Amino acid sequence: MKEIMLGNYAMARGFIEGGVNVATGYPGTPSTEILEYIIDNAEDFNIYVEWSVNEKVAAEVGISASIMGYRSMTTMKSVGLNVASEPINAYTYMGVNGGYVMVSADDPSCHSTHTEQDSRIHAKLAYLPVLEPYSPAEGKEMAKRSFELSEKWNQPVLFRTTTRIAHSRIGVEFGERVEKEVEGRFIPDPKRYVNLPQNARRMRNELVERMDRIAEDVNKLEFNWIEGDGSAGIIASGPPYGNVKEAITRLGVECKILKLGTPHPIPERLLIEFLDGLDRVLVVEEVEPVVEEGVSRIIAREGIDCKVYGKGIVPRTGELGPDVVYNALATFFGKEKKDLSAYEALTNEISEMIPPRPPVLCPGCPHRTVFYAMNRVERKLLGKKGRIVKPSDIGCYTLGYQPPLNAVDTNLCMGASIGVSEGFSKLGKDPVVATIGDSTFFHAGIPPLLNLVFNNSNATVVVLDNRTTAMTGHQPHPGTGFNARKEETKRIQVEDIARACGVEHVRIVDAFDLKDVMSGLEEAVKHDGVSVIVSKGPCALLESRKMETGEVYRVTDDCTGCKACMKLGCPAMDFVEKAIIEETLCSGCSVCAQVCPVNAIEVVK
Amino acid sequence: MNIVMCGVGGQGIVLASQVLSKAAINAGLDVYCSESHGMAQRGGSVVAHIRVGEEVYSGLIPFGEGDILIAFEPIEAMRNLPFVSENGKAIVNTYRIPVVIKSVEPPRDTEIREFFRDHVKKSYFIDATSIAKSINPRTLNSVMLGAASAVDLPFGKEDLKKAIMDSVPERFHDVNIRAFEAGYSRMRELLSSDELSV
Repeated sequence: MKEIMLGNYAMARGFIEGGVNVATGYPGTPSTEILEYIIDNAEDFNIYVEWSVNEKVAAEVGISASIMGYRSMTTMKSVGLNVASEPINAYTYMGVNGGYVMVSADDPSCHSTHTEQDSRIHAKLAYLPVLEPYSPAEGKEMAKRSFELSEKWNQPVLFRTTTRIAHSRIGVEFGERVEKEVEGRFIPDPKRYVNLPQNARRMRNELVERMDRIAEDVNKLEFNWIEGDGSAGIIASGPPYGNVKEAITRLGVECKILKLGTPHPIPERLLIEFLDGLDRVLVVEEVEPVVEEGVSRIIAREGIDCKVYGKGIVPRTGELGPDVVYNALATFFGKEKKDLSAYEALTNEISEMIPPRPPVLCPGCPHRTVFYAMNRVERKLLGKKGRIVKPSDIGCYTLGYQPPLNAVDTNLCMGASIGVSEGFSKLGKDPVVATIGDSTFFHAGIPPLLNLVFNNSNATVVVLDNRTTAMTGHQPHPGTGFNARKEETKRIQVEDIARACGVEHVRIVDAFDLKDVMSGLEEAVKHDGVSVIVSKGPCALLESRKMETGEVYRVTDDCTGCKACMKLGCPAMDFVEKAIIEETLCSGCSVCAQVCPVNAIEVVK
Repeated sequence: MNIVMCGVGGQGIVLASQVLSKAAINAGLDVYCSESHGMAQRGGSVVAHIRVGEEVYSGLIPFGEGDILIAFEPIEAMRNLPFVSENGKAIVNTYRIPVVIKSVEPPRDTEIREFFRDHVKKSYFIDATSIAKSINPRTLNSVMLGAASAVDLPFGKEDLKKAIMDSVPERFHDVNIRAFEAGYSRMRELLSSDELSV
C-alpha cells in the first residue's frame, strides 16, 4: 500500500530505514522538513535529534557522533553548506566510523534562496562523494543506502536534493529499518583525529586513494545505469532525468541514456562502456557543468572520439523544467523545438494586467512596526533627503524590502546585517540601523556584534525577537526555552548577550507599541556608539490578539482616505476610496489604529 | 492528466493538492505533485502542479498542457493561465484576495472572464468562497475539489471524498463533505447551462 508523502518526508523515512542514530541540522528551505520528520519519529526509533544553532555546529555534532560509530546526518540548505564547509572539509581527511551523511538542499531557480549555488562543486572541494536522486522515490532509496555506502567507502557522503524533489508529493512504500549495533564511545586515535599538518599530509594521500576506490565502486552502484540504444547519447543527473525520459518519448527519438545518481565521482568504466558506439552525447544537469567537465576530461584522457555537448544547449541558470529539457533535446537531435514565444508573450501580457503577489509580512507581524518606524524616524531626524542605511538579514524580515515599506537596503547572508554595519557606519556618512531576527542573531550575529564593540563602531542593531525561527516554520532556538526534543532549556535573552558583548546602550521595546519603537529607534540613532534594540513581539502565526480575545479592527466612517495606514503594507488592508480591513485576515495587532491620524480604526469585539 | 491548482497562501492549496494526489494513488494511478512552499502563510502566490497517469516521470507541467485549472482566486488564475491547454477546463473561484503591492489596478471580473474565454473556452466561474462561508469558511478547498469532481478527473467523485476524509480530522468530515457536495452541485449547474448554450 503506497502512501502519499512529501519528498522531504520520503527521504527522511529513507534515512530512518537506513538506521540513522543521530540527526542534526539548522532549518533552511527546502531542507527543513527532512529533520522535522525525523524529530517527529525520533522517540519511536531511539534517534538523537537536535536543531543546532547553525550549520557549522550541527555538522560538528553530527561528526562527533560519526566518530563514535553512530550513523549520523546533518541537514541544511545549499547556503548552509557554506557555513558547514569548515568542519566537513577537515572531516573528509579522517574517514568515518559510523556513516555520515551531509544533506544539502539546492534551489535551482532561487525559489527561496539568495544564490543558485551547486553543492556538487562544494563536494568536489571537500572530497565528498555525491548521491543525487532524480525523484523523491529514488531519494528515499538513496537515503536508505547512504549510511551503508559512507561506511563501505570510509568517507562522509553528500546527499544533494533540490527544491523539486523536496517539495513534491509521490506515493511511497515503507520498508524495514536497519539497526546497527553501536557501543557509542569515543576511542582516541590522535594520529587521525588531531588534524595537525604532520597528520594532514599523510591523510591527504589516503584521501586521494580513497576517492579513487570510490570512483571504482560507483561503477556498479544501482543508482547509475545505462538504458536505450542509438548513436547519440544523453547523460542525465538529478531531476532532469525525468524530463529527459518524457522528452525522448515525445520527440520520438532513439538514444542511449546514462542515468547518474553519483555525479561525483563519475563512474568511469560505466561511462566508457556507455560511450562505445556513440558519436555525440548531451549532458543534461542543473546549474553547473559538473558532470560535463568530468565526462570531457575522461573522453580526452581516453582518446575517445565522441563530441560532448552540455551547457550552451542546456541552460546554466534556472531549474530544468519540461519545456527547457524538451527544447534542449530537440536542438541536440535536430528536431523542431516547441515554440514557447506565444506562451512567453501571454505571460508578459498577463503580468502587465495583474499585480505581482510575492510573499509579504503577515497581518500582525511584529516586524512591520520596526520598518515603518524606521522610515518615520529617518524623516524626523534627517529630513526628506536624509538617509539611514538599513542593512537587513536572512529571515521573514527581509520582506521589509517590499513596498510600501522599502526598508531593507542590503541582504547578504546570515548575520551580515551586523557585519556590514561596521563598514557602513565607520566608512560612510549616514547613520546605520541593522535589522536581524533572533534565530539569525544566535546563528551568526554574535561575532559581528562583538566586532562592532571591539572596533568602537557607531551603529544600531535591532534584533527582531519573535521567539521562533519563523520563516522555515517555527523551529526552536536558544531563545525559545525548549529544544527539538521538547526539553525545557535555559531561555537565552538577546539583551543579555548584547550586554555581555560589551554593548552599553541596550533597550527593549514592545513591537506592537509604535511610540515605544519610535522613541527607542530615535534614542539609539542619536546614541554615540553601538546600540542594540530588542524589539519583542511574538510571531503572528503563533500568537495574536485575535487568537487570544477574538478582537480584530475595522475602519469607521471617520476615515478621510488619507492612506496613512496604507504605508504599513498590511495584507489585511485594502483601499477603495477609503481604507478597508478584511476582518478574516486581521490579527488584531492594533498598529494601524495607532497610525491613523483621525482615530478612524476601531476594535471589533 | 495534468492539473494546475493555484491561489494565495492560506487558502489551503497544499492540502487540496495532497487530497487530489491521495485520490489518484488510491485509484491505482501514479502521481507526481509539485508544490510551491515557503510562501504558504505569507500571502504569496501558491501553485501546485499535479500530474497523474500510468507512469509519471516529471512533476512539472509544460506551458499550455494543463488539462484542468483549479484556481482558488481569480488574479492567481490569470497568473497561471499560460499553463492551461486551450482545450482544457478552468474552474475559477471569483472571490478576490486583496494584493499588497498595487503596481497595477487588477482587471475587473468581466475582463478576467473575457480573457479566460478567449484562451480556454471551457472556463467556469464559481463563487466558491460564498458557498464555503455558508457552510464553514475553512471548507473552501472542499468546495473547489467538489467542483473539480464534476469534470472528468481520472478518478471518481467517491475516491476524492474518501481522500478528504482521510486527510481531515473526523470532527470536520461532515462540514467538508457538505462543502464538497455543494461545490459539485454548483459545478453541475454551470456545466449544464454551458451545454444548453452550446
